[in-house]
Amino acid sequence: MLFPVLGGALDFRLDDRLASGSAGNAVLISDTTLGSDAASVDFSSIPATYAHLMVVWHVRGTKAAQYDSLHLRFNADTTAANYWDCRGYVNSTTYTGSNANAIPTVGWIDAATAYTTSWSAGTLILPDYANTTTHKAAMSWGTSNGPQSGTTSVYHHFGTATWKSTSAVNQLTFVPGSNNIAQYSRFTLYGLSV
Amino acid sequence: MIQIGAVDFRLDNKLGTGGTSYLSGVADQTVGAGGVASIDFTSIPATHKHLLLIGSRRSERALGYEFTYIRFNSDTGSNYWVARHFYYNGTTIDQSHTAAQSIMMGYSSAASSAASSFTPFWLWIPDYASTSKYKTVIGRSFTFGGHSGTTDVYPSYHNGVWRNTAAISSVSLFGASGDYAQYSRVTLYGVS
Repeated sequence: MLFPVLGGALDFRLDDRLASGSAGNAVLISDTTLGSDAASVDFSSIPATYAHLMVVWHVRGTKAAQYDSLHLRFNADTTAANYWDCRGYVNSTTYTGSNANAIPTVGWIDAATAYTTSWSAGTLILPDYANTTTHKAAMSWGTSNGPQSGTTSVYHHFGTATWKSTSAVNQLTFVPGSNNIAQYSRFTLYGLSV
Repeated sequence: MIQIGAVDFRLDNKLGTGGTSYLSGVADQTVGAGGVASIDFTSIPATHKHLLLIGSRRSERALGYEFTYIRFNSDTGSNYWVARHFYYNGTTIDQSHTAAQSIMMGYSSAASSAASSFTPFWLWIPDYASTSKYKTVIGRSFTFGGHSGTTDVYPSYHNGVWRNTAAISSVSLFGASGDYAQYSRVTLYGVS
């Protein structure tokens, strides 16, 4: 129920809504753990029935390095000019920001020469992913752990992945900077209803 | 469907299953034509453990960015503590304030930002219904300016304290001077 209030605000009275039992949920859309190394993890045919999307990952890459980047494509669009990759990361005490028309980075991940049992955690939210009016921007954070000694290859990422399109998002594809996403990596996609 | 060198999940079959959730959508607001000065959630019941707000916002202010503030229970007194960390143009900035009249919770894209760009954000209000403790809010947002260079790019971590032990029953989001623009959207969830 809408109640216009002073200053032109939007004001929701929640009593009626809660009593009706129509509360929404975080719905598990898909959960995958890789059975073998894979070049990408792809969630396709995402329905437009939720308010927002959320992804949680626990990942390792196969690149011959201590860390790699993790990237996100929307609707299989591989044209860098259609994206805005705006992010920052901290390594040791240094903060580095970057902004570019590029397939967005959504996190840093441990790779082949990182500590042997180290896996990187990360998450993103994609608000209002199904609207057909605004550009889409996912906010993400994810960290690589490096060799678990000192600060080498420990990267804390925080950024936005903007897709400069008004189309509804129906596909999310995660790809590493190079090589593959390692076996046992896990990605979970949730739809957040209202 | 499995593709060579990739894993591709068709979701159609999975979606029918639903599942148990500890996240309940309480209210969802999308700003209409003409914008609004604030987005308010009132009469929030004390039946959840925590509150979570997720959304995307843009301001009509004639700048490349706008501030976003939060207040609880319509308290306009100097009863808030604020701490924030953000990055701008190669500089990391930490600030704090006491006796503030609201809590700054990051930035929004605004009228001079890239067209159709909206700032994604979320914020948590843990144990909002407690009547024994001051209330704390923590949030993240990322405002990214004009799709070129670093002007008006604000990745920000914000938190603050409402110095009151009352249960939170209303939440108000508002800007410094500009209205929230059409298509801004905020969803309030209760976390059980």
